Amino acid sequence: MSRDLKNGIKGLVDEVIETDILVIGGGLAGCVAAVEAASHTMKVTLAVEGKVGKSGNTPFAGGVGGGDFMADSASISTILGLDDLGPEKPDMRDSPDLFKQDILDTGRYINNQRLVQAYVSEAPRFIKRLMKGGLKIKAITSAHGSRYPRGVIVLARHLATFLIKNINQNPINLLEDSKIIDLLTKDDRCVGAIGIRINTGDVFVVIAKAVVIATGGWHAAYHATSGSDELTGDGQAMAYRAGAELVDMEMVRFVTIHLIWPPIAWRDHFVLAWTNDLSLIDKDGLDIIGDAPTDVESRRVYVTRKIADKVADSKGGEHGGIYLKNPKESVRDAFIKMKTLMKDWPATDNFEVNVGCSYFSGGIKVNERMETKILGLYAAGEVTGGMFGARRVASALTEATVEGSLAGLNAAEYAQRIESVEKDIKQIAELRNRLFSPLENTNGVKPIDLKRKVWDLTSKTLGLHRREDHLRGALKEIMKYRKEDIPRLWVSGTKSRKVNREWIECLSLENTLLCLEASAISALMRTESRGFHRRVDYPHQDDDNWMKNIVIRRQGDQMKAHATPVIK
Amino acid sequence: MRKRSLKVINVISKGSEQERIKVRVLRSDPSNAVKPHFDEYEVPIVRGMSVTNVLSYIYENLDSSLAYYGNCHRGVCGRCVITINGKRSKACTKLSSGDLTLEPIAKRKVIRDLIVEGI
Repeated sequence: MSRDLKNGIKGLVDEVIETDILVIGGGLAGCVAAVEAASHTMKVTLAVEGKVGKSGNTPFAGGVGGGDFMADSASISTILGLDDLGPEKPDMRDSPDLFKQDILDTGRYINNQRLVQAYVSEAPRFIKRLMKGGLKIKAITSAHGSRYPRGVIVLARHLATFLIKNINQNPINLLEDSKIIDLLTKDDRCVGAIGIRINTGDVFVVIAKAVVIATGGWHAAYHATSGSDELTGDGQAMAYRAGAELVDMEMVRFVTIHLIWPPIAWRDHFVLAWTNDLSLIDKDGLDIIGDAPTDVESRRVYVTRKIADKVADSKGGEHGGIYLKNPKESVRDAFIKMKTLMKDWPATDNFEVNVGCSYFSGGIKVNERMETKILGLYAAGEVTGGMFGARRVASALTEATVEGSLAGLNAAEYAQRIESVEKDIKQIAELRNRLFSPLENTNGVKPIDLKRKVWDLTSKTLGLHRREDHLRGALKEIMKYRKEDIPRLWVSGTKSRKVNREWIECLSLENTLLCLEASAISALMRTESRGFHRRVDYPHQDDDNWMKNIVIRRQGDQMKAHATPVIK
Repeated sequence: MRKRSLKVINVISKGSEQERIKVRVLRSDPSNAVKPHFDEYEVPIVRGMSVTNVLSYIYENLDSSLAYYGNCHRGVCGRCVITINGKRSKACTKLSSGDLTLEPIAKRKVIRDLIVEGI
């Protein structure tokens, strides 16, 4: 970079970092991409909003006890060599093709089949590489009820240490507590990003030949969720603003029942004991279980839908959920904090539950090389869309591993061909000013007030109970929030830039609402029910009209949706 | 030892009727020359509130300038660890009962309020 240009950028921001490849996100996908890119002798910078291994949803994959990778059973034997690990034995009747078939069945045939092919054929090789890097496998099981033992289980705690060790052992410039806010582009190429060092509030720019986004989902749009606070849809939103496409944004997974009251229980999902004593009641005291089927799986589906229906019809309790009576007897599998709580919990006090969101099947549209529509911009892991179509059962950690490896590899190959990148000083100045606007506003909307409105809206309209009138109303509200409230967000407490929670929330909310608008548009457009997407006014799957993906792209300030044929 | 001013400079309350606790939070902003001092808040309490819930109540309703950490809310990421009534603990898994004194964990450089380096 010329000295004049560098000085020009330096005059605008507090720190300028030059690198070959910038990876954004400290979960499994981001770490794998960074290590892969570094192995091709590229200069790699990894920006993480929190800390490596403790960020995103990776620490919670498969529950707190163990994370689950997956590969076809035969490859677990022939490539991973884990025949005797137990408790289950790999089955040689399985194959990558059968595994692919199951992923497509589950995804209701709107998966991007080239991504699925990459998943099933590359998974064993890439998992093997993680094992060589020190990943310890604890068990082989039939995870997620797959037809053969395909679950490759690791200890969640070990996964975090493994990631930290691998990042530290490689020549990677690690920027922790550093939130990337937007991408830099020049002539339809991605040339870096701008962000905030959370602890100091300093604004930094990374100049990069290629960027990999691995920032996970946009769980922050929902109150009942298993996602950590930092999962706010930054990656999807910045990719969209840069000109990349989003796909399958209506496909949000709601399968688990989450505790939303008492407050300490928030974020915990749990397994109900499906006994005859289980009692869930709405605000009028009506029992919602009634004639639920008796076999556990059908009963679970029935009850989650019933909860969603009641919440959507404003029949929720004081805190918006359904009352769980006598929780002491019904909460069977809970996180550690619940055990302390339950000890002294009076039998007469109810909990409240809601159906929670745990995973996003949709996201940034990528091809099998993890390329987006923008040159030099790659994406990997949950932030991407297309792999799992309408529904995911197969492992998200394997998705992160395969996509992270491919993104790191292809970004490195691309970066090797680039001599230098051009920068747009005007864009950097504009983005910098946008970052500071919530700090500079002297009145307006507090982020927490907007967040509460968003949570109330999503719980009733964009969960597991969707219908046209609700979706139209929700879309109108979301567009209003984006147009009127977002520019008026302000930091009301302190103007200090250091760990300023309100400032970070203001910047995140803009991204979360962008994802929500894309999701609401797609949910309204898809007039059928398929996989995760349940339209109560269109309860059936309509293969004649909807064996398609919905793609969202930016046209000026407008969000445009198109139905496109499935990629085979 | 860090010098601490025990003077209460700020008592804020909101709402009524419910059981309330007094929460003292040790605050500072070293790089902006804000010395350590306790701010005191009155927080309405219900059964089953964690210390993180108490901090969130303060942040959301009484004083949004408060710097504290909350991310996974499940006792896993470990970034919310602070000193609670003299003992080091994760704020999100700690049930609150009675008045609280909340401080950053000892022997670490404070960034602002309850946030320290290296956690």
